[in-house]
Amino acid sequence: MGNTSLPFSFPTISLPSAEPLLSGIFFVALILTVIFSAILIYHWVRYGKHVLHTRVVISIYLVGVLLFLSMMRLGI
Amino acid sequence: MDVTLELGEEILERKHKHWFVFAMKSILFVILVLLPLIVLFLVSGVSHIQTYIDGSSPVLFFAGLWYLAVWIFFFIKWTDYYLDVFILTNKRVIYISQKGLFSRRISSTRLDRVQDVSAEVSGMMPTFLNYGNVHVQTAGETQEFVLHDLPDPDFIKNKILAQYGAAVRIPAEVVITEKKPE
Repeated sequence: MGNTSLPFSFPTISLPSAEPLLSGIFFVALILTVIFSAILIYHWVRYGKHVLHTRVVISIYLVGVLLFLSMMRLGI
Repeated sequence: MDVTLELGEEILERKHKHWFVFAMKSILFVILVLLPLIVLFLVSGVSHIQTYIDGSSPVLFFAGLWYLAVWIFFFIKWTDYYLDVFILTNKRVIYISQKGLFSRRISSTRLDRVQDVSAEVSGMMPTFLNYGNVHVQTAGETQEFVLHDLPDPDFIKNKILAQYGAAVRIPAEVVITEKKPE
């Protein structure tokens, strides 16, 4: 039984951490979410007053947004 | 751009598009919600899904990103659907049409300018669920405006005609009398 180790070693590649990339995507997503949310809430406050409980719609929307943003944050 | 009622004007009827119209659009969202779960299931099997959800992983991150996008897209569609509204007042017919987030159109015509009203139900589901379009022919610059996918279009047509009758002070019911042969 001889030595089974290879006479050479494979070059190791050090991959950069994914965290800065994910944080960057998170930051962009956060900004876009804030912009879209502001536009949506503006619409509901201005035009939705005749049609439904605006506060209920906005609250449900914001709960969903916060949930998915925290899901993203947990994933980083 | 908002609807302001005139002095003495009161809202008699307010209708949104039929719920089925939005339900059909929502099928896409159901598929979009299920898609990551299906992909994850195909890639790793049921037993490994838990490992992705537990700790920090890019899968959880991208799932969150996906659902956030779907959620916002869903709410834009919901806003588009729900802010489309038909309003009948004792003086006017008003139709508000929201197109996405950046386009909104308010059409209105005075009842005394209405020339003809017709209801149109076309297709299998509209027939079963009783929804369709109401065409209002007017004497104005915009010759006709169409109220799309309203529930019970026949009722709305009759209501507009009744209010037209009240607005021009003629009875809404037209009595047809047969001439007897002499």
